[in-house]
Amino acid sequence: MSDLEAIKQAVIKGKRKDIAGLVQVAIDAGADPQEIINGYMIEAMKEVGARFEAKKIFVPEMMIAARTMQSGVDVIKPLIAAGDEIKKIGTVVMGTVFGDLHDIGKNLVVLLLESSGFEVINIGENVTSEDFVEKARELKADVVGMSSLLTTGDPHLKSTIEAFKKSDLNGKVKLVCGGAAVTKKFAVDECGADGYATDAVDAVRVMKQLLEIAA
Amino acid sequence: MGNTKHIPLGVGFYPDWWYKNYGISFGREYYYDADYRVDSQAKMQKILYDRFGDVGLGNKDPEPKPLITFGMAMLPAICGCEIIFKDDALPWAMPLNLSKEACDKLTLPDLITASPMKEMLEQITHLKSKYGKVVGDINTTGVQNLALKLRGDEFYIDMYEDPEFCHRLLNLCTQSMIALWQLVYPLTGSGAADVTPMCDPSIYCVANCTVEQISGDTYLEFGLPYDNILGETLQPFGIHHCGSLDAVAEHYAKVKNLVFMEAGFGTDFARARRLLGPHIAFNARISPVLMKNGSTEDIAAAVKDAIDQGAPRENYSIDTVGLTHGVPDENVRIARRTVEEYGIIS
Repeated sequence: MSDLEAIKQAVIKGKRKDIAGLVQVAIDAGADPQEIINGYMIEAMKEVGARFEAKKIFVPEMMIAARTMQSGVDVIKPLIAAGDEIKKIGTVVMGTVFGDLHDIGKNLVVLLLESSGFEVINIGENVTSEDFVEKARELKADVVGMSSLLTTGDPHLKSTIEAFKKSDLNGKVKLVCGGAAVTKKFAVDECGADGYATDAVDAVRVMKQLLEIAA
Repeated sequence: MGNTKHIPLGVGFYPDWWYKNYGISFGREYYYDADYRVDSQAKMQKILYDRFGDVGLGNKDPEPKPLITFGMAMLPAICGCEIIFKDDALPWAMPLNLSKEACDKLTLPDLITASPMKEMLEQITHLKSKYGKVVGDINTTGVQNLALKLRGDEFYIDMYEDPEFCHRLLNLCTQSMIALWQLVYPLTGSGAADVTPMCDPSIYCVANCTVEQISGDTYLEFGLPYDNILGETLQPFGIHHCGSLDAVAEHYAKVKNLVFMEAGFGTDFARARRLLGPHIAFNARISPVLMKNGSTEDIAAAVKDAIDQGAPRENYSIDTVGLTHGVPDENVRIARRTVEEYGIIS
């Protein structure tokens, strides 16, 4: 197995204690830091996402894989020249809608988005429609992700989307909904969201599609 | 509902249904004021009768039900979690996100003097003196649920990187749950009512809400040993499982003294029943999302499917808990009528 392939496997298997050493060996051997991230770590997370989607792995395995990738990126960051920062493919503001304090699903979406190259701002749970709009404006979000685990969140999902439609951000920010309580029919057809995601992996796919980023 | 025996189908409305339709609040007062709660319970039974009496729900002249409950928040609250109360939601414990060092310093709580158990014990005394009895119980939450409330999501990383720490914390959680049950059960004779109405209340039922997030192998290592301690100590034993049971069903079949299993929607009910065996009472849940958004035809089909999957029909039940504001009344009626007509036990 090449050193670079070993990095990929370390991320997939969540070998956080090994990743820094593997990355350092690869860099010492002349590997391109950006290539390590884009060609191996992000690819590893795609594999992790596919396994999660197929229910071959679960929440702890996805979390440790994302954390392992982050540890690898931490080694690479100082080596990337100023002005040549790790390129972010988009900015996402992510939160759970008002009235809902569940966080694990939303946090998984955040992990996968970050591991896929997005800049993600997690604005937490129980977020009002006003806060969603304000944060999206302040942080110049490309996408806003809204999570809802309970059907009690339906009216809040709707009012948040309405708040965006009435704001100066209408048409400028893509709105994506997901969570156990949300259906495509409700989010997209009835409320007018731009996208609907069935799970964390799908959220990455949908957001990339909306921003016309190659998968 | 007639005299013919059929599979039972329970209906449970979420607090927002009660609050938005009838102004009945599930805020702090509901949990801290026993008289308000007993009064609310009677109102709810009468409302159900007026609205759904035609399908056998509610009670025309409800007797006072001297109920105790604290949602799933008692042990997290005792351990220091902030509890968020809302008029239209169940109480929610915010995770403490403690460091491993702080977790290791935790000790078994003194339940008698710790708030809000202290207040709950005072309520039990009050209700017993007023009504001569008390019903309901205090939900102990589940072992992994409690560990996550204390340590936060980081606990999932610990499973990989410090399993010995995980076992220490899980053991403390288990012992705390046993202590809570051993304090409350002698006072109420009930150990499942606050988890699910579909379980025989006299047994101990644990709420394994977060087990859906882990694999079968992870449950084998970090879940089964503790469920077995609970099953051995607090037998007979029941488990409520949120969401799909599929990844852990074969391991739940190894839990000692298990007599009841509740499985969330998305479960392969037929496989789960086969693995667990027909001697274990099994409750299958219908999705509240479907109940809200589906047509009456969708609901009837889902109930029929659950009936077909659940064979044999003895020792089997279905429920539609978590119904929120906006669920069409006809969806509730069709669910009840479908079991009456299609779920007959021969």
